[in-house]
Amino acid sequence: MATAVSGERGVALDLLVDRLAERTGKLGVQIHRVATLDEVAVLAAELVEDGGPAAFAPPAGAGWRAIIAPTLDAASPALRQHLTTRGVALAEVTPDRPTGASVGVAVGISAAAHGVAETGTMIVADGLADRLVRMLAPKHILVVQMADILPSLDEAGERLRALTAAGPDTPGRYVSFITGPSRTADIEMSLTVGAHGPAELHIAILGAAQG
Amino acid sequence: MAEQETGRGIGWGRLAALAVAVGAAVGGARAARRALTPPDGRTRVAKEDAGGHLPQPFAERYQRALNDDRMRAGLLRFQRNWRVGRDTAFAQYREAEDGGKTFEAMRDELAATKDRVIAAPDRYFAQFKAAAERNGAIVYESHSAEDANRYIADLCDRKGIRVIDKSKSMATEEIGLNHYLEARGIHVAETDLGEWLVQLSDERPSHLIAPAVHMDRFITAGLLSKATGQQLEPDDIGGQVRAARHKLRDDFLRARLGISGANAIICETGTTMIVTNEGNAELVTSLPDIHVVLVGREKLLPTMADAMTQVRLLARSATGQAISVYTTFISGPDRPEKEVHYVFVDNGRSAMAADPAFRDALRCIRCGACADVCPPYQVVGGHAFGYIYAGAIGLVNTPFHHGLAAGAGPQSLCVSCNACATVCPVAIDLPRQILDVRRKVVEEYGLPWYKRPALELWSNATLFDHAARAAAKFSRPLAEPGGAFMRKLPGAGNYQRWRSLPVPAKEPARDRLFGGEVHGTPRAPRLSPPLLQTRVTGTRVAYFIQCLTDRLYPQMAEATVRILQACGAEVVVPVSQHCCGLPAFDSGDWERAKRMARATIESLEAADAKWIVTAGASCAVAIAHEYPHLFGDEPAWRARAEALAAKMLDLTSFLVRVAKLEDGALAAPERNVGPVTYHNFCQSYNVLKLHAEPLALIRGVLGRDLVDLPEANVCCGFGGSTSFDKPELSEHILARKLENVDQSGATTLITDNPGCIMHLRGGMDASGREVRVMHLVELLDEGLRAKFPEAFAAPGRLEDAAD
Ligand code: SF4
Ligand code: SF4
Repeated sequence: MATAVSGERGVALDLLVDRLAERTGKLGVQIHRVATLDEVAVLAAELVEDGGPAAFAPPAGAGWRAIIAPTLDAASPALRQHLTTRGVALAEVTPDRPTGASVGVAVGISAAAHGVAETGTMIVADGLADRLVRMLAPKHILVVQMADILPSLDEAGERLRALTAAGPDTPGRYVSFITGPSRTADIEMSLTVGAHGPAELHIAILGAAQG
Repeated sequence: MAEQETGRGIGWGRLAALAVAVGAAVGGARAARRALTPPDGRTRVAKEDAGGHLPQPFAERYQRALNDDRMRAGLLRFQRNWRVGRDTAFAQYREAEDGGKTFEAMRDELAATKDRVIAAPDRYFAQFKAAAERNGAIVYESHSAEDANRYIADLCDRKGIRVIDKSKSMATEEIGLNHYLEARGIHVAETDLGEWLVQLSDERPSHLIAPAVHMDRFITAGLLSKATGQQLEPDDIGGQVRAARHKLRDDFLRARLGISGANAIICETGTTMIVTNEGNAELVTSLPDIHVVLVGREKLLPTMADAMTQVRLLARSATGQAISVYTTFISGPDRPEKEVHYVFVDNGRSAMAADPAFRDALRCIRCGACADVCPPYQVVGGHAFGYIYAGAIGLVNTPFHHGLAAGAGPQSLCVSCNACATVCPVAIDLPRQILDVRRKVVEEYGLPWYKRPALELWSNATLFDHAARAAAKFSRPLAEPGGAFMRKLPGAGNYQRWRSLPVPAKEPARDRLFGGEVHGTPRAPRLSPPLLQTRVTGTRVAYFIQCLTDRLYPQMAEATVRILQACGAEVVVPVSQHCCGLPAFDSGDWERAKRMARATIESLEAADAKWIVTAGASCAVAIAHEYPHLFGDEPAWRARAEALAAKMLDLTSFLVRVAKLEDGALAAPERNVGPVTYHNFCQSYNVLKLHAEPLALIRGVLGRDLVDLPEANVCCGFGGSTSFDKPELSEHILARKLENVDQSGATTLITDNPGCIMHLRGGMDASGREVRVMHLVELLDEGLRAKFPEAFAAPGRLEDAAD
């Protein structure tokens, strides 16, 4: 199906998606090949339904919610629509309380600028509020366009250079490569996810749905 | 009272400072330091470093570590897991269709890049500074550790900041930043879990990337229970992590200034790269409006592409991941109210860059691999095996960052196994640099009292010969029944309890091999006819016996001559040969080492042979690899050393690479001697790169089966003089080796270095194990006799002098 190529090496995109899926799979990341934003909303609805750890639990009477990173929200307003249609309650990021979102929020959703097949990495370049959404909820969905998947760190380095050279007030000031859920092995090498960031990471690849 | 007993709270810093002050008043600070600081660094010198919060004296750290069996068990698991993870990660990338680069190729690439920066630091720094300032960051070059600390404290004061948070940074440990700020009423919240744990226990990180690796879950549960006010169960590690997460989140939200280090700073874009798995650096560098990056110039990388090479090497070397979970690239403030400050620290880095012997160490990317492979590190952990920085790199950089006295104790723990050099992702010659530090320590503080007479005796060929013969004679009555080992001597507990000492041979090998000649280079007596088809038929080969072989194991010497002659070589033995000088060299005593090296060069040159061969692998390493370095500043001797090095070979290399023994050449019908395994003498494996060769001899030439030895390449703990200087350390490393031999199920253990054989035989005997330990040449010799029984049938020609 997908015959578009990415990067100078001209590797077929679906091969890159396969590689990315294989490598993130080993890290405990779940890959979702989706065709539309509505499918992302369906996924979010399921994750919200399952709730989160007790420590994040919503106050009595309230239910679990999801939160959309502001940059994604602005770029794809349709997502908010789909979520609402699917019955997902949303928390809001407010400029004065950027972190108030952590209570009762099960799922954060944000966008990645690129994926990197070599390492199963997502490249994110956005703002403080987006980063907080990404760090503070126990589960997170990163949405990436299939066409934005790069073959290797070589291409990632080139993109990074372009991003950081773009000047002040561009998202290139602060770029993160995220590869798997936040983790620590500081106690007896015992691998524990969710050290500071999310314990559960989902990657939704838009445009990569089978068939 | 209690203080005396625990050795804590004595106020060493103050005592030392006082003593130095008094000493300076009397006769100069240098003399005082000399008198006050024995080579093991027992007395701490209050140097200009770290704002007062310094580690305890080395002797205390070492003793404490030796008492910590739980830590040792944890570190053993840690090292074993790391080894598998790291090797797998590099292999997977090499074999992946979109990968393909080898560890070595990437390593050499990054090392070359780092060298370009180290050679022109000002240029790259200026480029970085310009780019960073263009991005709106503030760049400050501090002129001392104190100045760097003050800059940050002033910044806090100016902004009225009382709580700051920090992601892991070794540079802040180096300058004692936490202590400095806390003393000024500024609360520092560590956000890396490991770093927080060592902060809670008032310790230092014991590993570059796993700060709390010396603690087990019981200790962490205790610390975290106290800090969070919850009762945390040791077995519920996930629960401990969650509790820490919640507690730390408060700090994240309160802190108004965040401090990080940098894994790299990139010149072309003015970018800081920070790597974490927890994601704490994302919060530390995002939430507060001020971000301070504390960094040294050695972290400069020219381009983003270089940073990607470092990324590929760093996580694989550190934790066996292809890439860390969070790799963050910050290029100046990302919002109007944000400030980004760079504080550059030098703290000895310029001195390192100016010293050709140590310059390479500035390539370090702080991956921790050099600790993860290090056998002594496993025994004592990073508080003893290091100072502020742990592992091999800590032994190298401590003298530059914190003074020679601080590095004197830790460097004494290196057994020169060279394992660290094989995994360092920037190819730093750590083992050699550690020996260079040792030399400086000896020059400054002298040899330990017992070593001076021992080395003086050892370095004098005539005296040594008399002493060795006397020892051979007088030790006989002290031998155990059976005669191979000494009875346990009263008072020698620590040296003998765990390792039986050998009884010297009645007659040294030289008596038989020199055939009574007292000078020149006589032919060796004929011990074997030329029996094999090889490439060395008729070639003149000089045999270098090696001290232990000569005095303890003359049958090994005869076996060597027999094998060489069976190969058709014309074997000659220089009569003036004595010790190569390795004991002096690895003790840091370059003066005697050079004296012995010169004598050895003269003796072996005079043999006028095509090849010089020894079955003492460590001597082959010393002569071929260390002599040229030893004479680095004496061109004439250096040239002679290099010429000699080109002819010098250990027996295994000679038989496989030069004689080219054929498969099956010594294959005789298998006798049932039980499973055989091979221990790679660490320097043979790591320096001489004998990986396939010993197996080619055993499996190929002898046609024998071998069983696998777990951790076959890990040092046995002999470590030259280390096993006498630090017997406790040596004992633990030996125990690891012996347990691995048990695991293998072998009843015969083969290796190629006589020192290790002495050590391993003694360990087997003392622990009641019934495993034969043999030199590879003895196994080959067995094969030779079994294959050609008729050639050795004539009596009188074959008996060993030692029998
Ligand atoms: S040479 Fe061996 S003992 Fe010495 S630091 Fe390196 S790994 Fe450790
Ligand atoms: S010296 Fe080499 S192995 Fe050791 S921490 Fe530095 S880069 Fe890693």
